[in-house]
Amino acid sequence: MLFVTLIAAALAAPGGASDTARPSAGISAAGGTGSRTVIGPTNTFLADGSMALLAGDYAEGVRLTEIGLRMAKSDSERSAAFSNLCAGHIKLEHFDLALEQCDLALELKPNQWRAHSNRANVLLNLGRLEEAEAAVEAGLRIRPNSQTLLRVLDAARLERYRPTVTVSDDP
Amino acid sequence: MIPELILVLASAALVEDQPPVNGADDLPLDVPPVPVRVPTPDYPRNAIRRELSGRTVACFTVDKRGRVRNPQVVQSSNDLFSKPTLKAVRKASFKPARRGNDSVAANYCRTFRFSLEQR
Repeated sequence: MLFVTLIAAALAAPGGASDTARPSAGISAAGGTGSRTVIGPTNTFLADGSMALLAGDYAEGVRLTEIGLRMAKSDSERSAAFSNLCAGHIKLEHFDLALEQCDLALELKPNQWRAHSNRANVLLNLGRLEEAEAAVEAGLRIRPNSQTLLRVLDAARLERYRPTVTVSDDP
Repeated sequence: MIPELILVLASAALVEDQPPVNGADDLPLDVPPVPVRVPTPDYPRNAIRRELSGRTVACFTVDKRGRVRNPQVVQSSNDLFSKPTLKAVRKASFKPARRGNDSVAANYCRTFRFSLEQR
């Protein structure tokens, strides 16, 4: 199984937001928790779901997020929920299901960079390398300096290439 | 007249090919420096991201005790490769060059090739 433990499964904020100023945050590359700022979440199930995912309780995170999805009041919330479900299913290694969730997230909100990141992650795990790279590039067009996206890109490159350095006396 | 001109040009080319000199003379060596440990440079992450291969040449002096002195990257296909090259070279160690029974400082260059092989 490729990179499941190495790559961030980015979590969309329940408000469909950026990394810092909105509820929730992202999972770090090693699967640990990133910084979290919870500011008055409008959908507590989505917020609790993202917290459970961040804490590594993926099944519970998916369960809470699914409830939150049913209660979601806007496309932005629904997109965040689908993106988080995608992240949860990645961690649960349900890659086909994760891909469906990421596609739904992006259908609702094409500029959701975290969903692009998660989608790239899924595609990488499915061995669909070129599509994974395209998904990363789509995310980077929205968030050019996202370390999460760049980590996924690194993983994609390492999947494609074996970097080697040789030393010689030859000029 | 013509042979002299050729000689001058040839020696100029030789000087240009020399690594930076720092405590080493140009006298011939009986035994050149022998690498004991030359760490492999890390492949720069940015270069992998950008799918860059490349090459560097690092020149330095190996002193009488086999330590690397005054390392410099004298050629680099991309600056991204220079820093890891220097870092690796600084950690290298050698058996010093010998002239007769004496350990002597000597200039030395190594080429590093960074390549991305398709899996």
